[in-house]
Amino acid sequence: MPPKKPLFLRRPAAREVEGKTVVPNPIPQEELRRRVPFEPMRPPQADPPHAEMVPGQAATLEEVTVQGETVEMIEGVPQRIPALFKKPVTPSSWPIHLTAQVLLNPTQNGAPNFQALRAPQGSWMRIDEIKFSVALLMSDYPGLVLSQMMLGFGAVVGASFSLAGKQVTAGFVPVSMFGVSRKLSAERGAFNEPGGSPAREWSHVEEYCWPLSVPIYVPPGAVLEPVFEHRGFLDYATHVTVSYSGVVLNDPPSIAERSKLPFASAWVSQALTLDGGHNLANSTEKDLVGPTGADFNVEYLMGRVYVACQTNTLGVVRTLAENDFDTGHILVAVGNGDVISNQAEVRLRGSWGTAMVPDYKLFPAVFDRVSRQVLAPHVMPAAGYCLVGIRSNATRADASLLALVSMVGWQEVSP
Amino acid sequence: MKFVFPLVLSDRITLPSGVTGRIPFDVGQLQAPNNEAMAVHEIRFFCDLAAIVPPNNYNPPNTSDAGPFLRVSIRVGPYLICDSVPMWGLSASRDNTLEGAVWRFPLKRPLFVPPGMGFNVTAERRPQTVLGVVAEPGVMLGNPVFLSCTLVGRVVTEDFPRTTPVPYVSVYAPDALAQGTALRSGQQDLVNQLDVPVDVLYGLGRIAHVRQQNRGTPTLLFDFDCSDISLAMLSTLAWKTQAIFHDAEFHVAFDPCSRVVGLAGLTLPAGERLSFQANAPVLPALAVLTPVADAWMPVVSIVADRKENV
Repeated sequence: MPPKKPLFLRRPAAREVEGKTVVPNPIPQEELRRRVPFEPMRPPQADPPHAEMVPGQAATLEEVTVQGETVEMIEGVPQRIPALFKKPVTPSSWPIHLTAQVLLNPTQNGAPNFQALRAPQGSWMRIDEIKFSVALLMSDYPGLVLSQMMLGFGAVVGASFSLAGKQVTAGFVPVSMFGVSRKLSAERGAFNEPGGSPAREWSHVEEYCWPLSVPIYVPPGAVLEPVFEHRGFLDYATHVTVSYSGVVLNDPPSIAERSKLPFASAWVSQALTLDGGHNLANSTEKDLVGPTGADFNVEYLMGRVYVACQTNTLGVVRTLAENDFDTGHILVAVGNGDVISNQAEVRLRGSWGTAMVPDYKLFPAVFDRVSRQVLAPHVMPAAGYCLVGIRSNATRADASLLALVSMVGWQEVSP
Repeated sequence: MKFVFPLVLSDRITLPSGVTGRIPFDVGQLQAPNNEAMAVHEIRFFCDLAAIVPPNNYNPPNTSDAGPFLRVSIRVGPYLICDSVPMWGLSASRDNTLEGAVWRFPLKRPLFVPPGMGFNVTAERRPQTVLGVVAEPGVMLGNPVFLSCTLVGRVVTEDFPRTTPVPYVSVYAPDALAQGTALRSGQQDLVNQLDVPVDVLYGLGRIAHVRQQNRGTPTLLFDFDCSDISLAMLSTLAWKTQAIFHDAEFHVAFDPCSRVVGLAGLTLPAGERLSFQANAPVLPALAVLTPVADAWMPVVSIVADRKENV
């Protein structure tokens, strides 16, 4: 009996074309070539000239008929524009932006009103980007003063998406782990709410974007359904806003276009005690997985490290700070030379036996410190998974370390 | 090439304070395991000096950047990629205040590394001397520097190519020059020292301002990449007599954000070089701080690639 061909070799072989590696599309060629017929706009046709009209004598005409509509003429000038010429040009698509909000209490799940995120009736909608805003409002906690460094909502709030029963995420993915980081300070902010709060009572917000490399086509009247969870690391209710940016389409997408859907999965480590020992955290086979029954076309991995501190100076306040501060600073070793994120190490292995990061390496050396990303395009076979190991020997009495790793890409689905 | 699974290789070395000379990374750590071939898409460096600043006591130190003070030399097998190039000469800027100590060198075309071939990477510290005072950015001074080199790529299992594009970087990066000095690249700067022509992709240009002050004890303040376009510095980049840009404002010719100037389409023959010249700005004296000396450290590089047999 011939050996069974490994699942991950089902895909057509890549080939070099003009110096670029091309992976043939598994979608049948006839589907890829299928296009909605294009009908060019034809210029409006005027009615044939009146039998008695003499060329050059338009100035004497008292009226002109255009497609059955009579227009009065005075000395050759039409007195109004025929309706035919007022017809606007219809674009093939029109931008759309949908937004919805939900308030999450600690350790609770919640979903916004799906009506606000529903595609228009009668038109397909293409989502090109998903945006998140996670805010802690001082109006919910009057009199509370938070550390200026308090952040970490991106790790606290997770999102899960589904479209017509097809999962876009494997469970809940922290909202900071979908899209490439552009700049930490662009992700977080503090502001005074309208109505005023004293100087130090700042509301905090974090905002993240997920530009979709593979757009999501939402059928008319359907909803890309988001559900959020509050993991409870921070003991405060958060206001979560989700936005879909895209276009409304005049024509339905092709089957080839509807055959791809983004996919993301993530792992959040347990809190590592920072007692100077080599403390470890490992993901399981159920964490960084692909879509059920399908290959996972991974495009990149994201990685972030957070430090959770119980601060005494501000009372019982837990802060969850992303430790690679966006300061542009090289922090100087002081005191006993504690290093937290710079002593967090990571190892990555795939279920197929290949090591992506064979041995423990410095976390910010693997995941680019600026973008939090490592570009790793590959196809993870169905039922595959990625195993992550985190370790740290940092020392800090009142803090623990949290590592987040996600895989982002796309999957093939039946349209 | 048939790309299979991703591979991230990394190694970390210590550059002690006061030690000059090149320190190598472990070749074994920068070589695909299991005698596999790989294609490298990106070379990245990360410098960590640091301890944490506790989030409840956040007090940021002075902003600084080790970019012009750390140099690397990279060779893959017998092929030279760069020789003693500052980090600024390798990496476009993503954000002036953000990048801190991480430099990213994405390769336009994947670099195929056959089985058994590894990367030879060495790094060195290059402190500057201003009026006899040897100094580095404050955060580096007297501290060891930990530098990580990371290769991001993918394992290759089939359809091995016979040739591969290999990057090449050449730089003009003199030691600190007093303000008002003419900046002129020399015979060994921005030169194609290979025996094959290289296809230039883009250029990178930054300039750092170094100031020594006398407030009792001589100190050296370091201002990072001066992308402030109000510091007018007309500059010229040319190949022989053909100007690429002539008397162009430095911080506009090199994109103010990314520090890149497009040079695609230029093929530099073996032994040929580009020439760069500019007049370093002269800053007015500050009455309060009574500066002693101002100096400038330009870093201008060209990033190219060529085909080599593997």
